[in-house]
Amino acid sequence: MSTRYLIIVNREPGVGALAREAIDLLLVAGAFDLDPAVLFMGRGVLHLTRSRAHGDGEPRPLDALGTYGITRLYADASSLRHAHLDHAPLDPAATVVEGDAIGRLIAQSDVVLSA
Amino acid sequence: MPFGADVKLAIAVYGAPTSSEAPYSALRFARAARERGHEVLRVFFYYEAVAIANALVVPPQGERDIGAEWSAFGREHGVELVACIAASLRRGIVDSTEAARYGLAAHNLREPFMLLGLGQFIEMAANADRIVTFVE
Amino acid sequence: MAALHLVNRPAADAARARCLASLGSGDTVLFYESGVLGCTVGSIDRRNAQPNVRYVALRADVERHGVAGRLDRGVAIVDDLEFVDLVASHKPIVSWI
Repeated sequence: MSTRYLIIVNREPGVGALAREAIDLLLVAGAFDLDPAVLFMGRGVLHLTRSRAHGDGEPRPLDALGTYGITRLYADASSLRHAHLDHAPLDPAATVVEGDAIGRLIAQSDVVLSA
Repeated sequence: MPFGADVKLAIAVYGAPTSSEAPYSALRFARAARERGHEVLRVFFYYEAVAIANALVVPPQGERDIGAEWSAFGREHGVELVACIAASLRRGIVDSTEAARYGLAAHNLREPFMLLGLGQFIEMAANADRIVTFVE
Repeated sequence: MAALHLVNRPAADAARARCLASLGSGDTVLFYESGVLGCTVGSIDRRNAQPNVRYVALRADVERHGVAGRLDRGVAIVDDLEFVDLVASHKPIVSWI
């Protein structure tokens, strides 16, 4: 049985090194065929909105997720509420999960990486 | 996985020595892992933690030299110490190869650290039985 | 195997709160660094928690922060070797940022 990976993204998007390096980790995991599930939590949920701060229409590093075979995206409901994003459409689209479901996502993973 | 059997451990360190305790906690863990007889496949330093690999660091009198301690650990146990090359270049930590490549005035990578790509992080995570990450 | 959660943040921290809201039955939470500061008497709220969750605190940090005699009775102290054993006996290992 192949290893099940979950990557939890806590870092917010931005032009700084930490933000870019978090996405790099995600994309390299995809490029190496880990087929990770990705959970956006805390400030990480800010990735799921096409923020004006980055210029509408500009490609985001995150837009490459599909190309790298990363399709299973999740977002923590509580973090979305804190960020006032709970009624906004998520872009890229992600399944919204609450506490218990997050525990299950973790329990179904062999390896959890933090980005 | 039988409890107590040799476990292949991968260690990731994200926090820098000057702004977090991550490299200190990770070193204690790494030493304990070896004491338990487990194999530490590699220690991968990412984000600000690459600062550990900067040899041009002079701790004040009486303070620990955590970079030197990691070097000693790596040598003593034959464990690969890797700083992410992209994160390191961003932050001015270069080895002689990269210094020559970019025409830089000097190089400062601490021995026996290596600069490798994120692919080596992923490979480490894939080959290990467990990966433990020490965050800031 | 149950998950091992690593928390190095004190009580008011959002990452710590996210961790404690995401536990599965039988999981272990290990508090270390300043995470031990949120483990004093009365701090462990089991009301809405998953069953059989074990809370432990790393000895070196408990002693460094001077909270050894003040931990919630639901938090056991473990040393570095036991930390390694917990890693070997749990899967996955989750570090909370």
